[in-house]
Amino acid sequence: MKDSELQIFVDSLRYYFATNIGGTLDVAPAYHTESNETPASEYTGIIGVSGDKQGCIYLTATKDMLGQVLLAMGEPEIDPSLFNDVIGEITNTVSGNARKVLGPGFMISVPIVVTGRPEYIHFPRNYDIGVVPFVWNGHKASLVVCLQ
Amino acid sequence: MKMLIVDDSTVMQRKIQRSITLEQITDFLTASNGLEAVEIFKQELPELVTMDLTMPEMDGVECVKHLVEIKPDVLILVISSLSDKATTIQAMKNGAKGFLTKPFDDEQINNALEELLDEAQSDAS
Repeated sequence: MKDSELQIFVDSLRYYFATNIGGTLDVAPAYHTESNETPASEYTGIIGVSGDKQGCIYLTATKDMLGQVLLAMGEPEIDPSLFNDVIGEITNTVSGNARKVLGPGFMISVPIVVTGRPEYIHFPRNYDIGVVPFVWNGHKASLVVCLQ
Repeated sequence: MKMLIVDDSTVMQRKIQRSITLEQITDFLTASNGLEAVEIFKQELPELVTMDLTMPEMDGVECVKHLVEIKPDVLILVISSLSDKATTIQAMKNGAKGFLTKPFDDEQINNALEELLDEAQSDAS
């Protein structure tokens, strides 16, 4: 995966937060890794990628952050039953927006959400893994892009 | 005027409803996938629909086709993260009248819906 491809997702993430959530978003420099020790937090929204590229995109965040995101999006109160929903929706939108650059051959699935911090996430060999750590209003989270 | 919001995300259904300030739209209905949308649409026959595309059961592009078969003059605004031209063209071919890319702000959704309603009014007169 080229840096320019990873940047598409960084731009998409920035645009989502700027348009839909607000607050202060600090995106750390993205990096590539070959290790399976990618970040995983309390809630993880995963989008499968098929078509011209295969792999997945995931966004992982704490429940505290998701609660604050819900309030920032206009929810009247923090409803934990919406945590899965909101992280799935953000991951879906960030991934879907990438099609503007990557084209319709970049096909995405509906989101799957995993709760609980996994010990590690195993990726297939020969897939490029890009990690985008970020902090929103003091909450740490990461976007991970894994493409063949 | 009744509006059906079709989106598999409850958070988005609520956000869309909260964002809309157009006085013409008085009643909101919601559906979480294309199949559910078709059932509700048949019963309620809303004038306006917002349609997500990536959904389980039946996706939005397919659902648009079904809704237009039931009520050809329905005004459908596709609201999706899939911002490529091919997807937009397919949704419009199936009968959608407008396309708004997620994420959007309040002004963008109200403008998109207003444009749809204005166009429908000028077509009718």
